[in-house]
Amino acid sequence: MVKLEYVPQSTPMHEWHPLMKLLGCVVFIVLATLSYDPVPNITLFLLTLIMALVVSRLSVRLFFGALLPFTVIALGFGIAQILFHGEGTTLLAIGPLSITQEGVYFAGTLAFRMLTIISISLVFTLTTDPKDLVLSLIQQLRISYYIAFGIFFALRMVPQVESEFDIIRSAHRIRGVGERAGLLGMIEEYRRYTIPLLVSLIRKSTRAAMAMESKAFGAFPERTYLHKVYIRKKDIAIFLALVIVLSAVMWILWRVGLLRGLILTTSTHL
Amino acid sequence: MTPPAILVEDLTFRHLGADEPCISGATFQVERGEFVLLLGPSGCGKSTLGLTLNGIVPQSLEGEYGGAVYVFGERAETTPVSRLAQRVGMVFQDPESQFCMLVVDDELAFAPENLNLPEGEIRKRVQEAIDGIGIRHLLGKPVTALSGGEKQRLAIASVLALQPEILFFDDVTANLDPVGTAMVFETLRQLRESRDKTIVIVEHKVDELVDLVDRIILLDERSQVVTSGTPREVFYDTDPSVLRRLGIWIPEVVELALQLREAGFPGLAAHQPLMVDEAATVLIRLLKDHASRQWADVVTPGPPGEGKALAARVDHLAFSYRGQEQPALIDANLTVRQGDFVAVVGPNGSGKSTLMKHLVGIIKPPPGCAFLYGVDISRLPLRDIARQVGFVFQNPEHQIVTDDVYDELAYSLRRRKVDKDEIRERVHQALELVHLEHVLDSNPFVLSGGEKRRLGVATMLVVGQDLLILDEPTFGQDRLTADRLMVLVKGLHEDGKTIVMVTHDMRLVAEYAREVVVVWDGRTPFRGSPRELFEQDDLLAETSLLPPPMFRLSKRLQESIPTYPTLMSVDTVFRSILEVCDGEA
Repeated sequence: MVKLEYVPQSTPMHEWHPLMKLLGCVVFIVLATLSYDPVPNITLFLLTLIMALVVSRLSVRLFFGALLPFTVIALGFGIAQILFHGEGTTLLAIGPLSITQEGVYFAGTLAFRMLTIISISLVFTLTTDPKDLVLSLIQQLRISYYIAFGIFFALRMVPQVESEFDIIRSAHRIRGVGERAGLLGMIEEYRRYTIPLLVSLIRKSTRAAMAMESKAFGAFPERTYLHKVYIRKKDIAIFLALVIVLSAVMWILWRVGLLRGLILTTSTHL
Repeated sequence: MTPPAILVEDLTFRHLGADEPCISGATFQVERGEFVLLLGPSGCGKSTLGLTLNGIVPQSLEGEYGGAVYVFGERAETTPVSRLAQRVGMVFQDPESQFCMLVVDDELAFAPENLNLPEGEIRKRVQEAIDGIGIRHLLGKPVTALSGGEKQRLAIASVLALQPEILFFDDVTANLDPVGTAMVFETLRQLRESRDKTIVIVEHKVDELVDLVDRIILLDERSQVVTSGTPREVFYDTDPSVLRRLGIWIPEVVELALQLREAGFPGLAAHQPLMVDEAATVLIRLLKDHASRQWADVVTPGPPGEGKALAARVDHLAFSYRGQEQPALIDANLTVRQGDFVAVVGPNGSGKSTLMKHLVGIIKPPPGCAFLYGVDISRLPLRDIARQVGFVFQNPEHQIVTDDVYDELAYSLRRRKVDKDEIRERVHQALELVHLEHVLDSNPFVLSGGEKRRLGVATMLVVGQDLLILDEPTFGQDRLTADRLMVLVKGLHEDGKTIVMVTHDMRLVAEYAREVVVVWDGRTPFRGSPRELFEQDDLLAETSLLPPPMFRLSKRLQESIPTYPTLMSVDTVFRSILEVCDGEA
């Protein structure tokens, strides 16, 4: 299984201020959500791949490994749309099902919209140090440090949950859990994992909470930070550059007729 | 008059939802600068007691609280935890879950940052903590990349940055291998020498710790103080039957002296030795007239002969976890004959667990590398492997699959479509064997640590496996529960089961194993009897393994009494001395 964890590296993407990066990702997500034609969504998706593999220099195996399960889901959605969209110019009819031009068009839009959103979110997760994100929430957005650290500690538990799950799974395999094949077997298998996993997680989080308290967490309304994050001019410049590039791409697509408009700008959408 | 560092007055505490209080009527005090060891049976509330010191009990972990705890005169029940945290530093057992940050540097700064101190002051404190514990080389590393011993030293350093006057150590070496334990004890030694901290510690490894301790507070099942005094006073002036009833670990040297005293030979106990060297000096004087005597050696049964059929074999096994550069196993070899009792030892991360996982099929070995009763494991479905090999995990909770003890034992049998009456019979047999008849209907999660572990063994027995693999069976247990489990395992071995036991405890190796395999750096550089292993000075030094106290004592005695045999357990040393002394009388 691919671990969805931040991998330290030094690229412009990794060093980009977390909040500005978040804003940049939001621009991607907004454009993908608002455009209802397949080509712009495919283009946006390709751009996220450039962000992931060229700009962030993420490992191809890691990135596509993480993306794969979502690709399967997106494909499923797409195929369902193609089969059941119904109305429109029929391309092919199989019994009661008719595959229409509009169906294919819509399926492409939907699938690549999903992929774009997932892909850019992965880029964010894999290139952002959770500590910097938390610190920027506290230092720039003035979010209470109790809440921000709460999020941080929850994130920190994720890899622990994963490894605990692996251990419990092997322990249960030896007992013969998971021998029964099929969906029922799988449901039974997972049902048996829940209690040991919950018990161990509650224990771990209680311990973690005690450790934090023992280190005077929450002693004062304010706390010091040795490490500070600033929004530099560079961070804003990168953001603006991204907005300009994306606008230009969308404008070109509009000019050549591949983008009919954005949901906000036109009243006729699918 | 300045108040003592810690004053506990008639403390009672019952956890929310528990039937019985875990502490009832604890009263004691600890002076400034003292180094105190809390000694008591498992589950007697030592950890809870520690948590009352900084107010987590009852302020965060609620329950019924009675009596009072004072820290430098401040009432711990009502003083905010965040304030007490600056006076009482806590280091916990589990190295994983006590870190708040991801990188060593951040972890060190975390506590003083919480105090809202100016940056300069924080940097100064972090620097002092780094220098005090000597962990400069760890800076910049992610916490997860550290070894167990390094993690605990970081935990100590990060607490020191709060500049607490009191430090409480809650069984901090329990999860550590010998290398890590040695590392932590060295740190404790430094802390004690500087003498500016009051230290309260809960610890099972008393043999190595006892010479650091100023005072032992001996607690009973409910944390009432049985006695308190210097280690010599507590071990030699307390009725030995009380020590045994409490089931606490006591140093082997003390055990030997007490047994000799009870047998009518108080010579050794009169000097109240705690460490091997002290005992050796006294014994050499007592036995010097017998220097040339022909001592009866104890013949320990070796592994079953070459003729015995193989239970398990591993040949030149190599393995790397996906995504890890360093291979977990490079060239591992293992031969387990039927009826053998094999101990597998080696530091954490050396590949022991990986090797064991191949034997039970959790990791599929490549063809031709691992065999069970002559059959290539790579060709066996998991189901068939599980029929032949039982594997008891280190944390018995991981293996629990049902909601009550009976179902837990019946589970595997039901899966194998065994008939109802036979299931009932086999479950009852297994329960009787592990002495768990009284908890038949309980939820496995509410059993005590020792009971859970025995249940784990039982679930692996009902199916009738002949090969039993135990991963650190006595980890974190007091002596009584550990002994009970080992008696069970020994009985199984005598009944013909083949046992493979992963352990860090050289006492267990010396007492029970017929053969030891050392796993080190993904290889298996040693295979032989425990005695042969303890003679390998270079290998022991490299792997940080320390021979058990009685072996070291024998070696010391041999320096003056060359004919003295090499013995490894309290029992054998006791008998060898008794024989001589009886001859005199």
